[in-house]
Amino acid sequence: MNSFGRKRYLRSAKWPLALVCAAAMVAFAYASSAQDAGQPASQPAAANPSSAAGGQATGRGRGRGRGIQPDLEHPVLPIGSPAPDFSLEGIDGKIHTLGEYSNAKVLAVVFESNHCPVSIAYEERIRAIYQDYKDKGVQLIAINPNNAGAVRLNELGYTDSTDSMPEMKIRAALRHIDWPYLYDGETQTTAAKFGAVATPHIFIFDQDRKLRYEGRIDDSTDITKVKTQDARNAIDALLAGQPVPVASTPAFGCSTKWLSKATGVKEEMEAIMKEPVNLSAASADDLKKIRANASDKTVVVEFWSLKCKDCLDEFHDYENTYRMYRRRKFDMITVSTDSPGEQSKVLDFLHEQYASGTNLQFDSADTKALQAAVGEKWKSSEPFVMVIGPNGNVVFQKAGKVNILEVRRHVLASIPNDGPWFGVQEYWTSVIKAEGNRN
Amino acid sequence: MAIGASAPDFDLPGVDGKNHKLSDYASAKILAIVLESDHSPASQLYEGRIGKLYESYKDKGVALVAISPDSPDAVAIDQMAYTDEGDGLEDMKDAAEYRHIDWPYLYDGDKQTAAKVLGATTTPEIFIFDQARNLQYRGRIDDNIDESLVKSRDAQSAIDALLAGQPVAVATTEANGTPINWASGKANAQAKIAKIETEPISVSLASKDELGKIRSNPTGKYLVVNFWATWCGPCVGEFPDLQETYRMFRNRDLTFITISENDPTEKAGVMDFLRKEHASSENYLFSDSNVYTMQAAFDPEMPGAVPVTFLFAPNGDVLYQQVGDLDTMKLRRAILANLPDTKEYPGEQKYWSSLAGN
Repeated sequence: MNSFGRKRYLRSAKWPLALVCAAAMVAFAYASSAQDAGQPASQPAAANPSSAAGGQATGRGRGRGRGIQPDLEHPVLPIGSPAPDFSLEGIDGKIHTLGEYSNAKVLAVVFESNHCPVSIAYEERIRAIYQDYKDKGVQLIAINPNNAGAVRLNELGYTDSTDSMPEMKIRAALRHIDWPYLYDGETQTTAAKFGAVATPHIFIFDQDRKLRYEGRIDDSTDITKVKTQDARNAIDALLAGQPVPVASTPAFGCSTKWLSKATGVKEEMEAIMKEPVNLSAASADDLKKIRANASDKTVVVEFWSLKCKDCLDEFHDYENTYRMYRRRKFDMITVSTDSPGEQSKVLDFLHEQYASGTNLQFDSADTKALQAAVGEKWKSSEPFVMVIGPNGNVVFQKAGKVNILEVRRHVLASIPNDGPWFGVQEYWTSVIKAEGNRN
Repeated sequence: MAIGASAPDFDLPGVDGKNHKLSDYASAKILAIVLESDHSPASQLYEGRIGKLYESYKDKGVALVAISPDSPDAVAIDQMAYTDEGDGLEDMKDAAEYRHIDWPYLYDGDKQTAAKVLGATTTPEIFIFDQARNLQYRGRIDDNIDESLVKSRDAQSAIDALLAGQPVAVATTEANGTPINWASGKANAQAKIAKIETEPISVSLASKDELGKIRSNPTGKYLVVNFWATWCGPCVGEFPDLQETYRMFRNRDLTFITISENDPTEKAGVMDFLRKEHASSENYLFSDSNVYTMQAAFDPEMPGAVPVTFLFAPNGDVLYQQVGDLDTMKLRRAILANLPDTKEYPGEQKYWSSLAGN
């Protein structure tokens, strides 16, 4: 008998009794199987009961022993449960509640988010379900479960912005998200009641608002390879008064960003603040090479100077842009046009900004040479930004103050997809195209 | 330091955030200075005994102060096979809390002056000073690292004698703990990391069958499996900590596997990342585009979100799992609480599992 495990579980007062009993049995199962396997007599013990595997002996398909466990902190709503009540603000500025949708024959609640590339990959599929079923008595609503304060910069590699309500509104306008899109990032109590594992994760309720399906939307992240439309199958069955063929499937995506785990954001920033900050002199020839961009990366080149207030104001946004995309085929170069004598002041400012990317300072006052190097669009004034794709293809350039989200969207539309199923590049290309048509 | 010599006049930062000086303990009849450190397995095994000395004598006019002599940067990665924490002051603060080190625990890893003046060589090693602060005993705490086999409690006998105004019967013994890591060992510690970073790096495509096999743990050892993807922020963020964990424990009874949930066509990007991280662990990549199929092939209960990290027993039981951001300390503590003892340090598994149980 595993005395450590048993003692610990029995002590844990916050666990329901059934779990405590199961845990004691699990500990026994382990001890006997360890002997079978000829293991040393020392008894294994999980390190932390709250996050360790212990709890229920499921191990489906594995016979006995301790199997993989669901998230005990945020357990997924069991099939058959009544729909959890909620009262959440939507992108329309109104409060939405469960009762508001009582007329719908079927209610589908899908957790989705701005930042998650998997959620992005499923957005069109969510739209199609909403469109195809809205006149058949099916109400689809989306809830963003993430607290923006718990999303790190390095999780924002595929998005122009993070998961706050203002940013949800911007995204909804850009992408015509016309289904209800509610924000639960403030308290995450609704997401906790559902046990939303990831974005996307869909929950489908029947007319009595009993849960009949939860899990993935379909069986392939790559839309061209979908064979089983799990969510649609569930909805179709419910509309036809039939039992749902498969009630529960795994949801795949970006884990819900629980506020209780937000320490990662602070740790990330502390690490960034320790990164070295460098400044090098750059000649017109150096800038010509940057402009030609022989690399396979998309490069943001930001021209700035200490005299330019707009530059100083937006510098932080550029640094965050660098921190968001730097793990992808992306680079950012800041170019100070301050006179070479100002080098120490330039470096001071870069230190203040923890600017750990490539920082250059133009090595002469010959602005004509600089103009010749980077192109006519630059009128010798800052700020000026260029987004340069591979082979020197300038995908975006702008003088004066910019909307940083616009710069980011051009970057996102220029970096090739990591994998075949994401469609992130196409997603952002279509946004830019739609914006271009509107302007 | 010879018997009869004066106590070192230390002034060192403690885990309580305050500086501690020799003169702070002037009112104590007896002062015991114990050298101990976070990473040192011998220190860990003696921790309960140090705590008992502290507790049972603190009301009898005996002060006990622990000093960590190890230079944190000189502790090589393979010497970290029995610890969750390193030997820096911040690490010590965490360790003191988790390990219930309630006595003063001071950091001397920068200058190592106290250890040098004392002439200490290992952790733990104890130095007992009389009321005049002259050394009356130095050496081991007792005669066996395995507490159940102890016959001679040398340090306790010395304290008892001094309290009774008697001479200490045996004033010097040899301490056989974990050797102190002097700052001069930094180059060696760096060289070991540099060597690891030259190890070959590879990634293999894992089929459904292979994933199922990994899940059943055919390695005969304890097994850490981490699922990740290049597009997953938390995954790439925690990857260096995971590799460090692998490097710490790899000479013990542990295998370490990473499985990328990227598309098989992304092998080049996955390799780029693994190379950048010098990930010489055993690395796999899903051989099929369908993540749902592949996850289910690993285990029907596999959670859908990444990152996911498991510790499996040799029989495939799940000993620890984390869905989402990894708490590296919890993983290391789970490993330590489960890995079977080595001959050198009997009782390590019990030490860590009892900490986990408290």
